Amino acid sequence: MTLYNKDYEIVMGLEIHAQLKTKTKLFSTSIANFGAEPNTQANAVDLAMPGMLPVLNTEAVTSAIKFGLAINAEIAPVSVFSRKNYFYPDLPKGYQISQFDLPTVGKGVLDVTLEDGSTKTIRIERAHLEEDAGKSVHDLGSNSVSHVDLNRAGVPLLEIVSFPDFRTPEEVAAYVKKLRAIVQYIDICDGDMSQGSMRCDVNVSVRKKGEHKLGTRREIKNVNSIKNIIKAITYEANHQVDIIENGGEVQQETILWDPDAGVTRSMRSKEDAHDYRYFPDPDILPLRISDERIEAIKATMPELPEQKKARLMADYELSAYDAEVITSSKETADFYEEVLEAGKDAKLCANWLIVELFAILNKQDLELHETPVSAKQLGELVGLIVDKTISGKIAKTVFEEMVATSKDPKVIVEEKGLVQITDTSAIEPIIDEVIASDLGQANAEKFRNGADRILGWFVGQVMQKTQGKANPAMVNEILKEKLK
Amino acid sequence: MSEVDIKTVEKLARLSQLDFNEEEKATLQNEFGKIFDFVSQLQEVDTENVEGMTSVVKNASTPQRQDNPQNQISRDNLQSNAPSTEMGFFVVPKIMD
Repeated sequence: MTLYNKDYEIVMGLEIHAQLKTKTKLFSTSIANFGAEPNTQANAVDLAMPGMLPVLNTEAVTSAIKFGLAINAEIAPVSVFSRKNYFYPDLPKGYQISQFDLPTVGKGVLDVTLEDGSTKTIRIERAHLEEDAGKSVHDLGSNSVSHVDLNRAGVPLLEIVSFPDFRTPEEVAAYVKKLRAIVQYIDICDGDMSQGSMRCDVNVSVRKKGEHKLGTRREIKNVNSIKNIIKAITYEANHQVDIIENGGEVQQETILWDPDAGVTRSMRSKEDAHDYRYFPDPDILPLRISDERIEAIKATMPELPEQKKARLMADYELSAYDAEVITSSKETADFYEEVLEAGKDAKLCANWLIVELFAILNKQDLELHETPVSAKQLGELVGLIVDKTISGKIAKTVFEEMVATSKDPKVIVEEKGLVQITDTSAIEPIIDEVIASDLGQANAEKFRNGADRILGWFVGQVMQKTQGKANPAMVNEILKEKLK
Repeated sequence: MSEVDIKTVEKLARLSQLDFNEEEKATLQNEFGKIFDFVSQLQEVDTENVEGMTSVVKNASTPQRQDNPQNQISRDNLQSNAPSTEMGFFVVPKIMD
């Protein structure tokens, strides 16, 4: 349980900034790539030179519409860009162009699957388009100056705001994972939290159970991994309960999670609370989106995680759990499809991916894209089991070798002479030999007297003599016949 | 005349990153009052059932451009007006808060 004090509950809402994968910025034609040399991807519009006019990137609008369709939200026929005013050197205009009272994407919903298999519906309040700010660096050289890089200034973001529907950190984690999968499936954002292309702010408040009024919230900014989100919430919620239990009051403020110290720290004091003085940007007319445009985009929407999950369950009879794991990210889903292409047997492929490969990745602390065994290789391995070239047991040996050497399974099977013996004329003499031994004769007697389980001893002996290469089903069959 | 308290003047000054002495604050307090009076004339207009107007061009939608990179400027050119640059960055007074 997250809270030490069981009289309280946590209430949370999320703001997620998804950096859109457009080639250029939201209102300027500068390149919007990550990681270029400082100030090589900014132009006169990004620097707010006098006389510059922002012109909206149509691809960013399309991305927002795709997202709206993915969460069954209303796409606003008219939305308005507003100026959010504040001073900071990485914001040359002195305001950020954002959306305020008329966002492009309205209310929607997202169903998340929790670890116990239950589903919870999270309501999304809105998603709006806005520009990112530049980057300030405070620790380059002299103590009296900061350094500003405007490459990121104006990069398009979709800010996705949820209702305060979360009660546990696990729900938050499930939501972030689901949202990440969706933006990846519809290909509008790469979802990489460590690189900052998906950033997560969590509004945390606590209240006594049974109370309806929300407690004062504090906003945890920019937590960069799902693990850290859970830790930050757990720390912050207990901290707030402590404050209240000690007779204090929670002060509304913005806080930062310090992953090294494992604590949250105040970022800005309340006194400096921002007053953004939003107003409609006079440089930009309202954005009107026609039904035709929405319909045209709807026709190009790819399969979403939910739909893919349902399809895998219906077409391949995968369990809900397997289908959920496979569709939880686009990368995993694509990997699975590739395994399946060579492996044919859907259930067996799912098993090898989820049980065997994921165990290795976990153990070696690798991401899927760093896997030592490619999807094609894993599929070929499953294929060798399916066409009875090797047994499932031998396959595990081959798999271990694949993990160690990244060699193709066929090569390993040939090199090590692991091809399964399916030739009865090769198996029969071995079986005869086992039955003819002293212990074999005694056990055969027991078997005939009804000790069925002794069959396992015979199978084991045969497998041992063939280094596991005999086809177990055939061994079983022939044994039963000969022991009659 | 509309009353603008000194706290409001101080807040606006802070948001605008400006420093004023007491005399200047008093002057601004007086001038803000006059401005509010002038603008508040608008409140006399009956706006019941009138939709908010964000643009004078009726039913027009903002122009949209294709997602193609253009108008790239060299960094030297981009920074030619900057008072101070270093390692490709713009250099500004320390801004940690």
